[in-house]
Amino acid sequence: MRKKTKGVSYSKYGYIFSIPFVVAFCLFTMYPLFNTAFMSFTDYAGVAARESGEMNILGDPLELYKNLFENQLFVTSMKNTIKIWSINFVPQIVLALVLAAWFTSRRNKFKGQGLFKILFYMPNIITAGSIAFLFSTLFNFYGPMNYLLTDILGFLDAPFRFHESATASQLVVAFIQFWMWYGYTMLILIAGIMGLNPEMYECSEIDGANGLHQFFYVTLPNLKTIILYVLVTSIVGGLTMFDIPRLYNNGNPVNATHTLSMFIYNQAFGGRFFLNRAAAASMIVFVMVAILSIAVFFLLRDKDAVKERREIRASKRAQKLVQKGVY
Amino acid sequence: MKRAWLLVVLALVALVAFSACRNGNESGTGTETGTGTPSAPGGADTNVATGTYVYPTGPRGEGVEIVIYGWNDELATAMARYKEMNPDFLYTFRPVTHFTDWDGSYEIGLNAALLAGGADAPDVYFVESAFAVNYTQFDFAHYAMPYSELLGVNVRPLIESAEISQFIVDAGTNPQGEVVGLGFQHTGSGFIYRRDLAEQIWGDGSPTAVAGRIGPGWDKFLEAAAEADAEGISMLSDMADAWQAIRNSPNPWIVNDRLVIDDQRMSYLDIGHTLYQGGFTNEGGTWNDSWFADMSGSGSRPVLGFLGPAWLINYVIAGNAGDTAGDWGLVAAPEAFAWGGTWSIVNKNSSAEVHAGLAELIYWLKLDTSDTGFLYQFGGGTLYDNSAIEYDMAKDMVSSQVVQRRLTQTLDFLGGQDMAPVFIEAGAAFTTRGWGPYDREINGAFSDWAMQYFQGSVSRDDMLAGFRQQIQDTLGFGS
Repeated sequence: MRKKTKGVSYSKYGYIFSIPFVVAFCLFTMYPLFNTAFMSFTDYAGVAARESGEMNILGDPLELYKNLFENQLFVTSMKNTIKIWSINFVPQIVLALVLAAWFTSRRNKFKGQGLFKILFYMPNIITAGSIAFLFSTLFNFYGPMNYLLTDILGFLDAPFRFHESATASQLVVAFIQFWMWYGYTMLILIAGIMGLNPEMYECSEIDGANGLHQFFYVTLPNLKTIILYVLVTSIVGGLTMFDIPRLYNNGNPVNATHTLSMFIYNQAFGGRFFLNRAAAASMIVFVMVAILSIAVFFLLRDKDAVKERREIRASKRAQKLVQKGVY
Repeated sequence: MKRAWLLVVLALVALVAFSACRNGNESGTGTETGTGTPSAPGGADTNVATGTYVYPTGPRGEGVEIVIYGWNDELATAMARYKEMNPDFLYTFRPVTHFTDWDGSYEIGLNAALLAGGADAPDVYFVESAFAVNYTQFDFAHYAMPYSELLGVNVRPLIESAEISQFIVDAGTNPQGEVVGLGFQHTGSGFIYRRDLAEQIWGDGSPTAVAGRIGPGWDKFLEAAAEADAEGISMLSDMADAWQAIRNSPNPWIVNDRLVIDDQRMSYLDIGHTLYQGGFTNEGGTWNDSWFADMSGSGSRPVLGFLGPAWLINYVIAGNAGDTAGDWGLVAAPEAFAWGGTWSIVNKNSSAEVHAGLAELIYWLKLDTSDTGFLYQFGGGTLYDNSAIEYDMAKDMVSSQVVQRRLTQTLDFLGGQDMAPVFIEAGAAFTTRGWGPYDREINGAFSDWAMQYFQGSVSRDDMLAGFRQQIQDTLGFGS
């Protein structure tokens, strides 16, 4: 009888419905992660190892990790990845923020907002492969970009070798990433701003704030969680950058656009099948992503909320002490 | 809280179940395909009885599928043609064609398919010169079935009587001395040039006159390049054209697990430097619009010529030459070399039925020197209905000299010149014994680093150090 009065518990359905996800997560995320981690301590490399599937733990399990930091290509790939990501992310978030602020502005209503949103988002829909080939052709020695710079605008006397210049190649790859993703970032930010309480804007207007004030003192501080999301997803995406640099210039010239994911891919599937080395490199990337994400979480934490929680805890403790009769 | 634990337990159970099933699969594949054991050191070709191969007759191969892996569809198309001509040949084909060979992705796909085994594994696969020996002599050699075993007759006498060029046989011979792959094209190469431009430079554009101007040897070639430059003509379209001729040294890149840069490849640094610094090439890359534009003379400067084999004339230059067609000539390159070629390899692990069908196809494609064999019909341009293309352009040079002698290889495109003597001489002087399994990566890295040196971005020493470091980093071979 007592049970009935307690009511029906629906929470078990929640657990049942979450089983497909948990199983899929374990199979396709947890298992590969553990397997990769294990592989990085073994001698699993070469055709024979791939055929037999045999793995033996190395005498010095950390050997591959140590070697990787002496591997200049790995270090170069890491530097390139971080460099290309930074060059693309900073302008991307700035432009996305500005556009998001404009599109949600309560004072200036643009015409054809929908059209512009679609146009800005468009590069994200096109497959990366097509875009990489498109840019590869655009920046060809005899390509349209050189034609524009020499014959039409007259900025250059002779065509520039974009594909053979390290800086130019990195900038083009960064630009492609920027161009592909600012529309996406902008949409996320617009969604974030639309979710803010309009009363805040009304209040600030009454208080005499102009558009700029509103952006810096109302919009930005309240967008923290959304920016955090954008940053973390961008870090994950940026550090695993693969398709654009591979298809644009295949890591050239001399590895200037060689990224960490390309290093992992080439080590695992090309040449001599250093699967163990690729696994170790993957683990390093995993740790890097984790550390950077935690750092971003820490930097963008809601300091007021933390302070508040701390105060609540302190007061509770004080209360307990009072109850115990210490005071 | 209890439920949370339940969830964790569930997750762990799933994990364990999956790893168990993975182990099961692994052992399954191992036993099915027997890929875990390296090829048994069978006897050399001489252990198989000598004789002639006789085509089977009557309906055969019904319901049997042959999986064909290729980096283009050339041979899959040829096989389909064989089926068309032989109505009793009832095998079906499943061609898997990767047209993205430029970055090595075909090999990655092929390797994965070979390793996976099973019904989807390639029964016959085509490998290009850039990576052929990896499948005949190195990492994947143990998948290759010796032709003698496949045909049931000793293949050596057949090769000898067909007079297949030695460099083609060498690249297809495994470390046990058995032939496991053969090419069908003869890819010996020469310098294909525009007669009108040669006449402008030297007053005589005939092959006899030009041959003595541009070679033998790179010193003469560079002298000729300077003379062409004085007339506002580029000697070559791109540096890669020169590297193509130099990279195939008779010495391997890797000796006893160490990287060795031999004199021939080292000479590219000087030759390339002179070509680049002198502005003797148009430098627009290869296999792109600017390369094709240079073939019709519509690039930034007129280009005298291209280094390459017969297929470069027929399939590439001829289609892009425009009005210049008919006014081209052919002479020996400054250095004998060959470029390209497709070796066909049969998977040892395929079924006996598939092997029987492939024996027929491989014999027809590579060793049948009769008028109904592939080589004669392909070389003469009569295999397919070629009415749509100019007759001349359907011709090609073939691996068998016996067949080659019966074909007329004069081309209107070359002003009626016979292309055979130049190409055959180049092929005879060329060896594939220096080819190694990782040549594509190493050659690519060397030419990339060399370009940095030519452009003045790095010194010669730094270039060499950078290249060595890269090979150490990517392939683990020290210097």
